Amino acid sequence: MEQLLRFLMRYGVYFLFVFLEAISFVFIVNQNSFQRASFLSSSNYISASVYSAANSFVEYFGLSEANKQLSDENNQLKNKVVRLEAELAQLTDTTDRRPLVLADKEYQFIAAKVISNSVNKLKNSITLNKGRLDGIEPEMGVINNQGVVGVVSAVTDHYASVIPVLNSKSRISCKSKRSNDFGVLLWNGIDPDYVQVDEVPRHAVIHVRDTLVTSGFSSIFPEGIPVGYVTRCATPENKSYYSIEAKTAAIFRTLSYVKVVKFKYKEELREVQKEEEQ
Amino acid sequence: MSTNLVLKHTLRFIVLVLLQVLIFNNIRFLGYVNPLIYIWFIISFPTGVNRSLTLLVAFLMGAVIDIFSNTPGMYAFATVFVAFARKDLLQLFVPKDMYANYEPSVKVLGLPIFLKYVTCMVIVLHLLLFTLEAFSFQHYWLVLLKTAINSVVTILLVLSTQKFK
Repeated sequence: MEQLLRFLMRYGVYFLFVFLEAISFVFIVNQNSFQRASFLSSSNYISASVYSAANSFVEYFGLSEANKQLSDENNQLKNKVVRLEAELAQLTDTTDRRPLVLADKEYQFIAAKVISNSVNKLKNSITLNKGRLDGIEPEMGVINNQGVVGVVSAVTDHYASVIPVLNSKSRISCKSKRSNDFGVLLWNGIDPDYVQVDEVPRHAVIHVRDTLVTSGFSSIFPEGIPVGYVTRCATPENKSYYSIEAKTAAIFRTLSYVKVVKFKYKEELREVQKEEEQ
Repeated sequence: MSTNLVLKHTLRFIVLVLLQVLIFNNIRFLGYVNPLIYIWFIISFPTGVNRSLTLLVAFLMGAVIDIFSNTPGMYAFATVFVAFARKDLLQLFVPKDMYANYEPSVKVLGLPIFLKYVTCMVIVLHLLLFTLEAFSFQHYWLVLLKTAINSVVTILLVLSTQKFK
């Protein structure tokens, strides 16, 4: 017994070292699971409150830019309302049929503010100031008035974590607006202004300056939201896919306000897809 | 340790964690710059303190930064490792006749020894953390580049807080 104690006294530090490193390592390995990440993530109430407080100071420096963005968006929306009203009047005038249901009716938007954001890591993340009580759930899309931002990964009552396009785990299905050729949007972790598109077959027609938009295959994003603009495309000799680089539509360094996309019939769609599989 | 010393180090702990998570983790210059200045706490932690206690404090510090930066375990792992390696690094560089309890600084150790010690600590920390972040050897050059740039920045920042005379 005494020998055992002496042994522990002598090598206790080494045991403690190995023990602490093992705990850390278990956390690192398990962080891929959403449930565990949301336990220790920045949607954690305390750290989110600190970020919230810090953000309320920093916010003032970006106010003029945010104002400009909001008024721009306001203008766009007003223009759209005028145009749609005209269209609606025309449709109800000329025919006695009801106007066609717009696809957008299936989607609702929840406005939220970015309270923490990073672009300098391989696995970046964004925290929003709205959460479960505002109707946000995991796997909802996040966009701003420029384009796609990311996908919600975890929520608490008042905060939500988002995996942005600038995360090596992010995979978003997209297509060329002009030719409708599909691909997968990825990020190689190097430049936060540029993303890569994979799995576009060689026979597709892609040109520099093409706009890439969401494909609308999943219930996460509506179809046709810009994700990027092709800046470079090549067909390497030894590959069956294009190698495409695109400038991101949303500018991640200055994100401030975003919208979370809520798909009304998500459960229904999931159910019918499940039945399809069986 | 007297209450005064505990208070002093607690204050350092809090200030450095806040500096790290609110300022240094948010520098977006060139997309690479992310100096880990919080390690200043471990670098100048008193050497007389029980080694197990030092490891626990390092783990706590890493875990707190992990919670803030959404990286469960990464900072904790790297910080505990550096805190563990510290004693051997000091033994490697500091003359044997040095008294047992001191806070490593330029004033106590002199510039050449302190610089060697800090350089080793900082490079090990950055290399470990960025490797864990990538979690593969696929991005190897990126990891080395980030380690090189950020180590230089961190070493300069640590030196800039030292009294030379």
